[in-house]
Amino acid sequence: MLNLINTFINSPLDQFESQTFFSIFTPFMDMNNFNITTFALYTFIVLFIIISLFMFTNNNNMIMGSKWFITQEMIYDTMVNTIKNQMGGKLWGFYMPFIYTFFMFILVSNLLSMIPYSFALTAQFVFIISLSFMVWLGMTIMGFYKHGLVFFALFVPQGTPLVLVPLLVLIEMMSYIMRSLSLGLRLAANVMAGHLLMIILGGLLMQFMSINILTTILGFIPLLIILCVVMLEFAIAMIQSYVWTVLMASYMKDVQYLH
Amino acid sequence: MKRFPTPIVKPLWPFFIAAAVTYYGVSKFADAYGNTDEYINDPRNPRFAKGGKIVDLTKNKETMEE
Amino acid sequence: MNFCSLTLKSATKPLLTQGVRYVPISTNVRYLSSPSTPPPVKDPKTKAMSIIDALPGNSVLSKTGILGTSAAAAIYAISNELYIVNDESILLLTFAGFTALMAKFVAPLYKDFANARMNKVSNILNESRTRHVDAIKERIGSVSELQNVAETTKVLFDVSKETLELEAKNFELKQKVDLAAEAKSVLDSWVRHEASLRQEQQKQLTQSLLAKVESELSNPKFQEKVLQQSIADVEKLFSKLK
Repeated sequence: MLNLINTFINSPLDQFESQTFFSIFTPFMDMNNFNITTFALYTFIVLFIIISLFMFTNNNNMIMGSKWFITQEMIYDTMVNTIKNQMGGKLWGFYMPFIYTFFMFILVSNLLSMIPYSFALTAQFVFIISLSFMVWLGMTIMGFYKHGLVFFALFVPQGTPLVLVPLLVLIEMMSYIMRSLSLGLRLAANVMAGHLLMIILGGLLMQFMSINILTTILGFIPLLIILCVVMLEFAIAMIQSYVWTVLMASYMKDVQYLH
Repeated sequence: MKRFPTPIVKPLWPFFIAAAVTYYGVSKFADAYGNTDEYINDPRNPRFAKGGKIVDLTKNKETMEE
Repeated sequence: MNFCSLTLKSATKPLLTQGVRYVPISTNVRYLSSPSTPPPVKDPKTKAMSIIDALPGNSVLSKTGILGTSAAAAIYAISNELYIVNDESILLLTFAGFTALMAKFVAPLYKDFANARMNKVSNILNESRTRHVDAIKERIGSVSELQNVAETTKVLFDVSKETLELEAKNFELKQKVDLAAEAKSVLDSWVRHEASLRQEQQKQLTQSLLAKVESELSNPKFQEKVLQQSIADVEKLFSKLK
């Protein structure tokens, strides 16, 4: 049941493979949904990190948090400002906690995946794309519930000549439907590409450094380049979570106010 | 701990519906994809944990052709 | 020539001091003595010492012990395949490098920023607290001025009582004065009435007298009598003259 042995890396894509650590087996029903896989483990780790970021930094519930809490305040402030600017109107407050939760989850799992030997939650295409599809579908349901058939006005940009309306409706509808894929694909592809790039560069450098002692010493120069790539990946990890937030807020604005 | 009266179900119910729909759809898709010829004999297929046998695809095809 | 010697002097001085300062110092003493002024040129020995300083522990022995044990542990782990050197090891190295860079350059900046921010917030909180305390003190001060309000009211009550009594007296006196004035005016008017009555009587008396005289004058008998008397008077006078 416990399977922690298989930690060898055979291909660069192996780091995205999720292994089952613990599974319940019954002959009567399908219990696969309750398996503890790498994915589930890392989801719990992310949850634990997010909760502990709030619990352990608030200075025993005093008025002022500790030094670490300022980061939380900054993130919260940034989120409020971003969502307010993107959505406008009065409804942003209803959806701010939702979008903030997404931001924290993606940010923490992105940064967690940057630690070596760890697992990239946000590079799991199935998970991330179903997440973005869920967001898109929820927004669509909300739009139809709120505006009825007037919701289709979203597909006609303001001030379009009547001749172009059918074509534009087709294009806009395509782009609207593609949002469900593109939102998640952008994040997952970025994270996956970053991790692949790092592991491939690491493998190449490893081969170069294991030739002889001279190459081992010379290998420290490309190591600096990989260090730069790692820094870039850290930046991407943060930027991608922000991009998700901005896009989600702007999609939410589209649905709430129609343009 | 202070309780904040944040509305959760009122603004977010469409997302709950969407989550249920997506979960159902993805699980159906995963099952269907696991049963394709490409992955039916993959060692990661959860079928084997329940004691499933390797399906001989060539034989299957022959039977289908017959 | 002078300039040259000056520059030589200034150039040789630090060199000499450096030589004196850095040559005989052993590693142990160097470690214990923290230089108050940073040396202009870092020699490799101090650099190595700074790396050793960064390690945990107190003496050089424990530091070298830590280094040696960790190296031995790494070699043991790699040789017994507890740790497998593969592609991910490079990433482990780079991650460690990144963490070190962060700890070295970003963490102090963040610490300063966080401290500044916390100071700012705590200053604002403390200021507002002191302001609140001051406001309450001010209020207490302003209220405490009304501490002996009971006595003041008593005094005020007495004063008002006295005033009322005085006013009552005043009113009494005023009424008396009024009464006197009234009586006086009544009496005056009586006097005036009497005087006018007398005047009227006198006037009537004189008028009746005058009328009597005039009626007497208009009487022909009287006129004749007067005329004859006057003629007699005139004749008497003429006789006298003669």
